[in-house]
Amino acid sequence: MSETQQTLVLNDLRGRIRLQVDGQLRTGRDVAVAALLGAEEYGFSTAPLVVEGCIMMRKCHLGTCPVGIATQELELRRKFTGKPEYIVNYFFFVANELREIMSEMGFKRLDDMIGRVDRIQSNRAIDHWKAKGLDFSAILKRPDVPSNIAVRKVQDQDHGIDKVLDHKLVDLAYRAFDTGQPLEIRLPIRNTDRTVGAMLGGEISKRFGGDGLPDDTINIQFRGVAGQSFGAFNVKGVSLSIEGSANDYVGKGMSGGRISIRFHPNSRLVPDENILAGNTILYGATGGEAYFSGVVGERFAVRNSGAVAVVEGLGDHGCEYMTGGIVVVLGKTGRNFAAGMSGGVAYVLDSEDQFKTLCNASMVALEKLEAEDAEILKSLVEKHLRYTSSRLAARLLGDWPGAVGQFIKVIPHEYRRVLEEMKKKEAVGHG
Amino acid sequence: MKYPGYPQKTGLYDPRFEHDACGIGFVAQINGKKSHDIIKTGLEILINMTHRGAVGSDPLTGDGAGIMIQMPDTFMRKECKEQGIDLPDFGDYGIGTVFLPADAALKESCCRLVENTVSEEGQMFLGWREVPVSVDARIGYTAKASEPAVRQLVVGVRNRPDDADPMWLERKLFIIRRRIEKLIMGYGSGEMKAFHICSLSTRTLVYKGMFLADQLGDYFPDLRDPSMVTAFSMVHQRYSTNTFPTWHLAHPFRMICHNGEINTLRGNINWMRAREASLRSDLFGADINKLFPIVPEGISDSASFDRAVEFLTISGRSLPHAMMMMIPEAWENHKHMDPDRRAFYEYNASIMEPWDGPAAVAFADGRYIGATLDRNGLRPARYMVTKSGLCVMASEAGTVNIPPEEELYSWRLQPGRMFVIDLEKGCIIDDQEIKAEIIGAKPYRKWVEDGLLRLENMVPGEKEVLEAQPLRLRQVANGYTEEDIGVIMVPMGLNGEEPTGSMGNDAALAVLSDRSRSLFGYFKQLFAQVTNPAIDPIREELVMSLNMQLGPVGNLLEALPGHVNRIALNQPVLTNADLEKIRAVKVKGLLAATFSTLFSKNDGAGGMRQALSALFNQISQALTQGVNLIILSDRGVGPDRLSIPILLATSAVHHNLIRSGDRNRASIIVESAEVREVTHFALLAGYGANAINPYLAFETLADLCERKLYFGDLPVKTVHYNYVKAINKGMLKVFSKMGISTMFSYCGAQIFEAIGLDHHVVERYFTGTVSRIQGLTLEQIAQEAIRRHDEAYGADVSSMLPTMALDIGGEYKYRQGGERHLWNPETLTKLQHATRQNDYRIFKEFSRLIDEQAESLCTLRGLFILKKAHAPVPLHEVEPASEIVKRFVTGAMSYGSISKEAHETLAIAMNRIGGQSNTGEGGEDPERFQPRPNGDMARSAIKQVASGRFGVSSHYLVNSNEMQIKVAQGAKPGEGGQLPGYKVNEVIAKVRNTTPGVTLISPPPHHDIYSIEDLAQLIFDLKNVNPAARVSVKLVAEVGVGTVAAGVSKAHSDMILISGGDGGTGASPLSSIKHAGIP
Repeated sequence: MSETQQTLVLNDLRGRIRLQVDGQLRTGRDVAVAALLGAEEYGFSTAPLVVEGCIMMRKCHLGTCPVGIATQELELRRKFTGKPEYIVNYFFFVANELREIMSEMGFKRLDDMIGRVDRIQSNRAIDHWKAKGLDFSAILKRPDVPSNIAVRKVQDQDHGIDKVLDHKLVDLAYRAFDTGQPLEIRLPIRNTDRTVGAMLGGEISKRFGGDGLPDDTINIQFRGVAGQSFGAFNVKGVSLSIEGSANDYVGKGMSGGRISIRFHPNSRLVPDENILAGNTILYGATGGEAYFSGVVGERFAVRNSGAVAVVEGLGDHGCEYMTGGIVVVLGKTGRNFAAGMSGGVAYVLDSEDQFKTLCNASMVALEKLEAEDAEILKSLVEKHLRYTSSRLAARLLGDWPGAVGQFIKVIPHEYRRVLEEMKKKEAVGHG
Repeated sequence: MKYPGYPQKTGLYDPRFEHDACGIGFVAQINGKKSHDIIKTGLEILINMTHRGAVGSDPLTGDGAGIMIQMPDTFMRKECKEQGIDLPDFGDYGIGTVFLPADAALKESCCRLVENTVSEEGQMFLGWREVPVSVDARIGYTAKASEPAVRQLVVGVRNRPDDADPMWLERKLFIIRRRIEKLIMGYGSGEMKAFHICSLSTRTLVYKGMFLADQLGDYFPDLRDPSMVTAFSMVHQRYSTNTFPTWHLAHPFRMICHNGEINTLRGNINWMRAREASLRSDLFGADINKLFPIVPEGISDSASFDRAVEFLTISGRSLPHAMMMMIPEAWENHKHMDPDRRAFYEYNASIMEPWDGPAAVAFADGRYIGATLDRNGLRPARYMVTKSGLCVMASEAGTVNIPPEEELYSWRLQPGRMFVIDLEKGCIIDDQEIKAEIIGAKPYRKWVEDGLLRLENMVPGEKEVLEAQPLRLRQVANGYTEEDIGVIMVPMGLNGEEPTGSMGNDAALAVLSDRSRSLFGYFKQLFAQVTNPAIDPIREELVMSLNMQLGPVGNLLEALPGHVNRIALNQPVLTNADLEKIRAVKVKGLLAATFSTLFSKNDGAGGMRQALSALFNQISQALTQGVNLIILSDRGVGPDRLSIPILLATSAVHHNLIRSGDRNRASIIVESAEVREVTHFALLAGYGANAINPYLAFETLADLCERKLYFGDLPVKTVHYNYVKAINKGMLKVFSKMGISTMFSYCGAQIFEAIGLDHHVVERYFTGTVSRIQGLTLEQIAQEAIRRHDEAYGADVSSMLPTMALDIGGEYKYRQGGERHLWNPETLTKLQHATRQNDYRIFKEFSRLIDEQAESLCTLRGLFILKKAHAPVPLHEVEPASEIVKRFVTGAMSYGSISKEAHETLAIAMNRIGGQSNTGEGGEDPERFQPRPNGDMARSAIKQVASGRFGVSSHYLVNSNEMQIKVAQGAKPGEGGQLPGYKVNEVIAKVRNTTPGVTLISPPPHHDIYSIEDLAQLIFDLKNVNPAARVSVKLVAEVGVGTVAAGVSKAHSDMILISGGDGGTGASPLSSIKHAGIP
């Protein structure tokens, strides 16, 4: 804490940021020390749990908490006796205790206390046989800076978002918000246009909630090279496409809608031999669909839990930590495919018969496609063709029976077990 | 000038914590044709990556930008002529851009010094060219205040032998530069610090400074002169964690520009130093001593890296070869790698450790320009070749506008791969081709097959000598507790896994503990946050390696077969039989000797210091007799003899050998009774041990097996195997927390902070480690060791043998009579009582208990006294409690780790008082976004964004007042989490957007934050989704967190949360709870 305050002040960066501290704060005195060391806000973790009834059994990791806190068991949860009032009481106690200390120290306002390390004295009377050599002067040092340098937050950060392309998109989209009429927008894009679509998505989430808009309500077609985080946090009802290419983090946190990217129509690049978009695409996506007519970088669909995607080649660590969704790879994968993949399915075109050596099989099974899979796959390849005009998709669909045999299905063992159980349950339910 | 360069170390600020990262790029005309357009395009790349750089408190001062080009001969000829300098033929002169102090007198004395050195080295000083700078270029006031004078030094060749190779003058210039740098360094600090030679070469030229991307071209009119032509330009935009005026830290350096972070820097610098004594080269002869130190102290990681690359290339290796040695591919576990390539890397491992960390490096020497990527592909690098033969490489695609029909192909740098353009031959050489050529140059595979002894194939040594003293006594003397055995060692022996625990750590710091604690307890692990990612050692195992080699290290500058006459280990934990093999080895020039770390108790605390120097002497003697495997052993402890704490002995020997230039003559192998848990192994390795034999741990486990305790019918062999496996896994976890992937580079990397050790001890025996609150002297360390020894052999206890019980411990959990904890039954009850009765009096009793205990030395903050005012303020004038509580927040506890009831109760309470509660990792049920009928809201104001991103959608984010990026979590910084499938019920699955029953793994790093500019991007993303909410970044307290925080502030976070290292629910490996993070 102390180092942070000192460094920020030395750099004249303290004035534009607030500091919060947590770590076993319990009493008014703890808060006072934190304030004097430079913190403006104070986090409490263990104490409120104790107020709720925690008796420190240190069994949190076992799920057998006897007071209904660190558990999901219904029986145990019934034993929970905490009430909001208790927590309110606790925080007022701490605040009042802090006020008593402020009064003694002569501070009327908490703001005046921030960073006043000069009001702390280290206990000189340490007579502990080991601790007597301790020296706190470094912690209690006040940076030697002119008085106009702020020691607490006094101004806001400039996030530079007042100039983003999305302002234009949101303005244009208002019409669709009001009328529900589908909307088409065409715009150029370049790498300095970052996080395109996120603000529009946020606006839709605010107005229409988690379900967004009907599919394809807002269609935006870009030309050029998109900056990082294209289509990040995209939502249902928004379809984004690029003719050109994109950088890292396409479709990060996407919950719905569609992203499709293909090379510029004038480009002569062969899609499955050239890179179309960057690393870490669809990170943490929970829904929606994405089509890439080209090769993408490392960690495609990392921690994807719901998006459906088609791609014509990818780098190392594809589908890492994936927990849901479907990924179709119509080309080469890198090493360590499916590492930590616990859910979802991938279909990989393995025309050169080397996928086995590239897949991390510790959590997944590699198998042939069943009829049901083949159907899903075909519909996705058809969509890929529709949204990206992929020549590869067209070729595969041209000889579908021949193509489908070259696909390998990647499915986590656990995921399959869960799906089977769900099916059984359903069957029982219907029977 | 406000701050002349970096401030000195002050308070807790220390310049060595500085990090930087950035955007890199180059453009090259592959056929080598030079044009001015190449410079223009280079500058265009820079401008279009402006967002990857950063600005400080002064919006016009950038962190640095620069460009490297080929020596512009025509331009220089013209310019020199105007200044009356007659430039010799191309290749017969060198030019360097030099930053000089602004002060006229200082400037001139620097110039004289430079001129004299040039003459002393027998070369011709031809003159200085004043480099014009635009006075009206809009650079920031911080940059302006420290603006150096810029001149170019012109040197002509003289005394070159007829048979000299083409690099002769380049080497001379290098010697000249190193001599000047050392001379200037000798003048110490102050304004002389502005002096810097950006480049001095016959082949390349650098322009750089403290600019924003678009200021570089404006500032130097040279770069706008159409007669300045080149076939390539390499550019860099810097983002650093500070705002200090540091013109010289802008890239490119002399050979490279770098995007990323070298995590093993401390070790790399130490090993470079260690190697100097053995360096010989015909190319330099005696001149080689003028170059030392190769990597000086106090420069950035990128600058250090550049020094090493430059040294390797100038002494004869090609640039790609040097890059292969410093950033090797992940060869250790690569099943499909060509055996020759593998052998090359294994051979190189015998002479150089990897410079490990995320890295995209662009490099150039005038003829070659290329780029390479770290083994795990943690930085982006895209390139594009056009039909007209232009190649553009940059951190991002699209930085140069190329018409789509012009594109020939586009690709990216892949993990561990390289691509190079040969401007003379006019072609691109791909990874396969470059490497095949380098690998084929020497019979590396044969050398490795002939030379390297694999431990598993070595002949057995003698049977180990059994200890005379009873096991129990030795356990007590080494501070073994019931907890050590039951909580730590048994689970390892049983399952091969490190045990897990909950609720953080509230036990006393070692230095504040009444009990005698092992020296290991005085160190805390450091871990990666923001500026570099932790690695997942399980899911990304293919980049991790515990391989080690033992034996002397050969001359780095020669490639000889004998270099690889060493012992190869697959992992650094040695069984007793392994150790005996090594002790007995007598082939291939390998020779082991055992050195006792014991000293006599009669000599008292002072005896330890003597024992250390005796140890140093014995070792240096042995080295002269050809010993190259040093075994430090604490066997033989008895009533009168005890050991120097093994960590102290190891690190002291390691640093002593570095200082004497002998470290590379031998490996250090530790044979110790003190070592038992993961952190001990990590510490020993971090302070220089190449291999470790924990014989007492093995013996303890064997004893339990024999007595049929804990292990059932498991044979001893299996238990030992499991234990080693658990230690190995644990060590990989420790490495990966710091983003380090190999034992070779972790060894000696000192990724620790000392808490509670005197600075003399640290400076001498743990050189380079941070220690900020002082503490134990060497004598006190000895005293503590003697106390522990007394517990077994003290006068009053000896009668109790051999039934003596082990201490119960209590470090991990409160136990009566054990280690002290702040939360104990009394304080728990008081607090619950007070809040339930709404009784402030009882609360005061609670807080008095807590504060008193804190004072009685459980926490550092308990040692502080708050100074009272002479004139107190009446209580009623103090800000009301209802205002104060608005600054209170509850910690991040995920719904999933705590129950729905507990989670919602917290949220409702915080909403009532106007404070904020936190969703924790793992989403929130949208139902909670609506108010309840009674007006209560169960919506958490703070929405956390953690590495798993579970449930983080647009809808989740817009329902927040604050979006918190959790970079690291207190109890388990740098590690991921895992929620097993059986815990993922319907409701949890719903809020996390996953399938019930499917295990959820959180990756150790955010996969979109590998570097500080990535964090800026994520903050920008979140702010776009919900502009009304503030963005906060949660960091864990550790050494260097201040500079990370400065970087975070520059990334436009609205708030930073510094989290003490001692909180946390949920399952975390015990070694993380105890040893990572600081209070």
